[in-house]
Formats: sequence, C-alpha cells, structure tokens
Amino acid sequence: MRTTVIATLLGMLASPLTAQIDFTHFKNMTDVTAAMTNIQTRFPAIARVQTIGTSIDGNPIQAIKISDNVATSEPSEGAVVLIATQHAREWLAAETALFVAEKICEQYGPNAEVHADVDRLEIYIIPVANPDGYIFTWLDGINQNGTEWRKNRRHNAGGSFGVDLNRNWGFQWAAVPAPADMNGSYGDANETSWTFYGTGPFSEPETQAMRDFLATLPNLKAFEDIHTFSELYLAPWRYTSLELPPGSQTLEALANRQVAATAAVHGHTYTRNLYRSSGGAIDYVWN
Amino acid sequence: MSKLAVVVIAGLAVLACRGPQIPPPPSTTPETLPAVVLPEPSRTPRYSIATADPDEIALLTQQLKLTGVTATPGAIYFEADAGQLSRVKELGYQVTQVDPEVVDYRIVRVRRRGSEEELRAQGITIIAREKTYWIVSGKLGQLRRLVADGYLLQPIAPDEPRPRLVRIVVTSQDDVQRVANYQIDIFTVADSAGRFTINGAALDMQIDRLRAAGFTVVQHP
Repeated sequence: MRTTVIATLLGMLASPLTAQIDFTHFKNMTDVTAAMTNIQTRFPAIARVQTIGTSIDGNPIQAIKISDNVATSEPSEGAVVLIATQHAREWLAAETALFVAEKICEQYGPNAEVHADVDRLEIYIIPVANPDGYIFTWLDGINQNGTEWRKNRRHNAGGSFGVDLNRNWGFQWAAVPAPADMNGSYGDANETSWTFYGTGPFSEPETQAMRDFLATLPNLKAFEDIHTFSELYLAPWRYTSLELPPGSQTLEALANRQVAATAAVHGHTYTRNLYRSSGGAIDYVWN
Repeated sequence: MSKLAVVVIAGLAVLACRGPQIPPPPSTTPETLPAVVLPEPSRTPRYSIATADPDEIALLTQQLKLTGVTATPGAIYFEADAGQLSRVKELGYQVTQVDPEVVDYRIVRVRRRGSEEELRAQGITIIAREKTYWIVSGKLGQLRRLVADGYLLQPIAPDEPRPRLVRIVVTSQDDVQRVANYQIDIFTVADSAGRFTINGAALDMQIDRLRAAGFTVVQHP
C-alpha cells in the first residue's frame, strides 16, 4: 500500500515530458505533439522529432526519427516508415504509432535485437499524417459530426470540405470506376463523398509532403500505414484483384507473420480482404 | 536492391474498438445563417475535352499547367490561354468552349419548400436531406434559377453533408465491390455463410443510388 502511494505521488510529480506516455486516453493534437517531444527528451541519443511538411491549414506534419546517430543522415542504412491517421477519426492509429515509437526507444537498451535494428536502420514514425482533420475531430462543441471526420480540410471548389488522403496518392489514382448510373451530375457532388479522391493525384499538401519525404529515402525497406478499426491486414495491390504485385510472395509471408503475431498477443485473427480501392499509400509506395 | 516490404494494418483497434457513431444533426437554425451570395458569372473562357482516364487527366493538368480544372465522368473542363489551347489541340483533342455557368457548381443548403422533384427538374442533385433543408449540388446557372424562384440558399456547415449509418447485405465479393464503387465509407465487411454484411456510412444521394441499383440499404436511426 505504502509503495503504491509513493509511486502515485512520484507519478504526480513527474513531468509529462519525462514520464512514460499515458495510453489510457486518446490524445488531442497538442498532446500528440507533447508525446513526440517526450520521446525525444527521454531518448535524445536515438530519437528526434522532425517536420516533414505542412498541412493545408499550415499545421506541421511531424515524424519521429529513431536511429543511432539520430542527428545524422545515413542513407546507407535501410529506412522504415510507419504512418498513421491519414483518416482523421482513427485516433487509435495515432496512439499505436506513438506506442510503437516509445517501445522501440525503451527497448533499445535492454533488448539486443531492438538495439541492433535501431543501429542498422533509420525508423520514421508519423503518428498524425492528417493534422488538420485530426484537429477537426477534436472540436467538440463546434461541430457535432466532426469526431467522425475522415478527410483532410481542403475547402473544395463547390464549398464542401475534405479530400480522402488515402485515395489521393499518385498510383492508379481514381482508378476504381464509378458505376454507369453515376454519370452526369455525380461528378459535381463527388467532393462531398467521404472517400473523395481529390482533383488530381497528390493534389493535397499532406500527400505531397509524404511523397517528397519518402523520395529522400533511397534505401527504403519497409512502409506501413496504420488504420482502424476493422481488424484487417491489407497489402498491395489494393486497386485490383486481377493481378498480383511483384514480390507478392514476400508480401504474403510478411502478412502471415504479422497476422500470427497479432493473434498471439491479443487472440484476434485479422482477416485479409475488404474491397478494392485506388490511390492509396501502400500501392504507391510498392509501385 | 532489396525488395521494399510494404504492409498495412487496417484495424488495430484490438484494445479499444471505437466504432463510428454519427450523431444527429446540430440544432443550428437555418434562419440564423446568411444567404449564399453566388459569384458573378465568370468572364474567363472555359474549355472542355472528352477523357475519362485519370492518368491522362493528371498528365494534361501537370504538363500543360492547366488551371481551373474540373473533372467529371467522361470530360474535364479547364481554363487555358492561347498557347495552352494550341498545345491541347496539337495533342489531338477536340476542344469545345463551354459556358462557365454550366460547369462551375456549389454545394449549398436549400430551405425546404415544395418537393424534391421540383429541384431535380432544374438539374439539381440532392445530396442530403435534413429536417428543414436539403443539401444540394447545382451549377451556378441552376442555382441562380432557384434563387429567382424564391428558394433560400445558405452555406453548408463545416461538417456537412453528413452521411448516415447504413447496413447492406450482399451475397458475393463482387457485390461488395459494386457497393464500394458508390464511394460510400465502408467500416467493415463481415463474411458469414456466403453473406457479406457491409457496415458503413453513406450520403442520402448514395443511398438513393444504391437502392435504385437494387441494393437493400438499411439505414440506422
């Protein structure tokens, strides 16, 4: 009992910037930024926050870089990129990204395997790829539907808001055909869809920022895009089921390993199929 | 070079499944909003070419630096100076000059009055039905006619139009894709004994079109 009380008091005294990140509640954008700073502060030798671009409303899109010699660019090291929360409402994706970042840093000391991985890789984690949309989801009281907002906050030509960032990447953009009965005026109303793909590939500053950032990583080895909430594990190609992507066996093996690993921890077996969609991040990066 | 490993997890909500819940519309009274002021008719010439290929559209837009591009199924509309126009023609496209009033559009609220058919007769697309107003898409020329007919046009809220929670049961993966092609926001697809239950969110416009295509759409209150 006494130990518990002391631990609680110590916890109250600890600065939020130096304590472990609190994953008992969802974080707004300010708290996400603070959590990233927390990781950098606690692990300055291997973690550094950097801005990779700016959203349409001028908010920074930030990544945590985790690597040895973190202040130095080492292109010879393989790069691993994990992005989350392209879809604004998927708050757990941001939490997951922060959780992964913190665990990697915490395990750098005690876990030889993690230590080796951090030394040989440059790991970039972007907890909130859609900061404007994410901020909008937290504006309770201003709008009542915002917590379910999916898109960014592009003010579209017709006056509605938002482009689905995970439909705006430049490979097979807008390739899934609309049914014939949508011809005519649907094109004008299309911007109101919650999966609106934008006026062109990479029309959005958020996807441009991620594209340009990825282009700076000549030795990219892995890319992961976290969403919620269907318990799915999706891999390229997403735009078609008629052909397998190059390296499909590698993808299949990775998928099976990750599904098994998730099931081993939580007992949930993720499935592998949803529906085809185009203009997504993983198809672009794989291509 | 090593193969890049690209993977994605869609659904990490193992610990805390925060399922989408769409609340009812806000209580904003339409009377408190100002009327939409439609822009003056544009004097900038607008052109159109027929194409439905998104890659082609992207290339044309980027390479020729076209501005004011509006893509619709089967055609794109754009502004162009003489040099750009000449280049488009050199590429073999048949260019048509069009009236901006039949190209430019707005998404607005229209205070309810009369029937939806009266709006549709004007070429207006009804996107969502709220208690006291519709949210519609209309070309500027169409919307001017509504104003002339006495309709009150008002701006939409920052989170409008609001989709509805829906459930659609289909019997094949192909039908799942057909539903997805209506650009509804699919949350889950549960596969059980040959039945695929799709849970998602859709605008009234999309629900109308799904039903017209023969899908049974159950709308949650």
